[in-house]
Amino acid sequence: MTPRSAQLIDGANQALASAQRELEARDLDGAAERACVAMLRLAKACLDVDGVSAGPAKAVCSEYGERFVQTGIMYSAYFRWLLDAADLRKAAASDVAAPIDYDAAATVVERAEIFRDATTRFVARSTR
Amino acid sequence: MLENSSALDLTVGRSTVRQAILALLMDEPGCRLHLREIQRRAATSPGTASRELAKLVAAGLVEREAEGAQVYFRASNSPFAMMLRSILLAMPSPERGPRPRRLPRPGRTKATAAPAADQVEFEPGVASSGIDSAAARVFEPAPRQRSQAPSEQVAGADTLESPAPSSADSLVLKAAGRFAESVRLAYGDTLRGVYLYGARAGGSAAGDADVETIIVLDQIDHYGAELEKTSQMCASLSHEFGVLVSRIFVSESTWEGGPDGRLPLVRSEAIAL
Repeated sequence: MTPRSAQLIDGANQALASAQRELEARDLDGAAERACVAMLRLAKACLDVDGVSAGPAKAVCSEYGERFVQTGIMYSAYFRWLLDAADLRKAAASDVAAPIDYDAAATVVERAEIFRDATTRFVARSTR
Repeated sequence: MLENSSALDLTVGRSTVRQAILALLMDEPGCRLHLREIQRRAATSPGTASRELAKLVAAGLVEREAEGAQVYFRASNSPFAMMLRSILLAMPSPERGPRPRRLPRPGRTKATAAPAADQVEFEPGVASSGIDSAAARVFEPAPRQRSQAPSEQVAGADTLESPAPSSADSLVLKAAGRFAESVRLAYGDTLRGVYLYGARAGGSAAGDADVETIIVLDQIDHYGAELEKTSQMCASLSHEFGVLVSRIFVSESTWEGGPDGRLPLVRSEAIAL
């Protein structure tokens, strides 16, 4: 694991822990936002393995989809989950979107946990 | 004097896919290929091929021809394109072909090969939960048809029939139109409208800007359920067009709400799809 990947995974774990706390506190917008941040950091960790540094969320999602999902390296649902998380964060920050419900926030946190586990395994295996 | 490859880098950019596509089209004068053929022969994804072709069209090196629903691409006959062709033809052939998309690494599969089961990162519980199959049932490629006129036109909003979009814009509008058709199929009578908003609607979008959409429904009880219902169509179109398609859901009552807040601004800039 490269230092950058390790740093990103650590950051993702912190964001995920925040997301879980905010979910328990029923701060649904906050939970969705932190879970999305966690997933983006994890996607960046994967890209780092590929020698790619992507900045904005849209670039991270695009590169991740192209490099890991279209090639069949990662499960295709992960790309969907990443896009859904980004859109849920957008909704949470929006003053026009409908309010997000508990199930939506809980789902994105749960998916972020699965994504974290898969990413950690992938990064460890790829940089062994 | 520059080496040929350096000259190519300076004129076309360093993208090996872009160079491969250009070489492909310039290899045979008059050669005309459609997107799928270019994507296959350049060994890249449809999204990347679309993106790179849009750049080559914008640069005047490639011409785009639409015949009905089919779009073809051919090398331009402009003097600059002809000069570039002579550079390309003078290069040794290995430089002109598509390169592998990335360096191979232990444990990774070829881009086109199905991955070995132990190389795909997924959770068996998730894979067997039917998320993909359920979503796939929702998303079916929409039949090619003219966009329906919105039942209620937003004041001051443009429509897809706005004249003379650039090639890149056309691709984005096509992606947005396909998304709207899929949303109509998925929601039927509960759908009140699909709109393009944000930078793409305002005409200030960078090349990689998202296709941001607003889906207005009669009511929204569970935001997560609506996300899940449109998840597969967003991912599929994002892959196909090489541009992210995003959405937010707005209830009809909010959309038609009063003059307070940001909504009137969003509404006035939105393009009905």
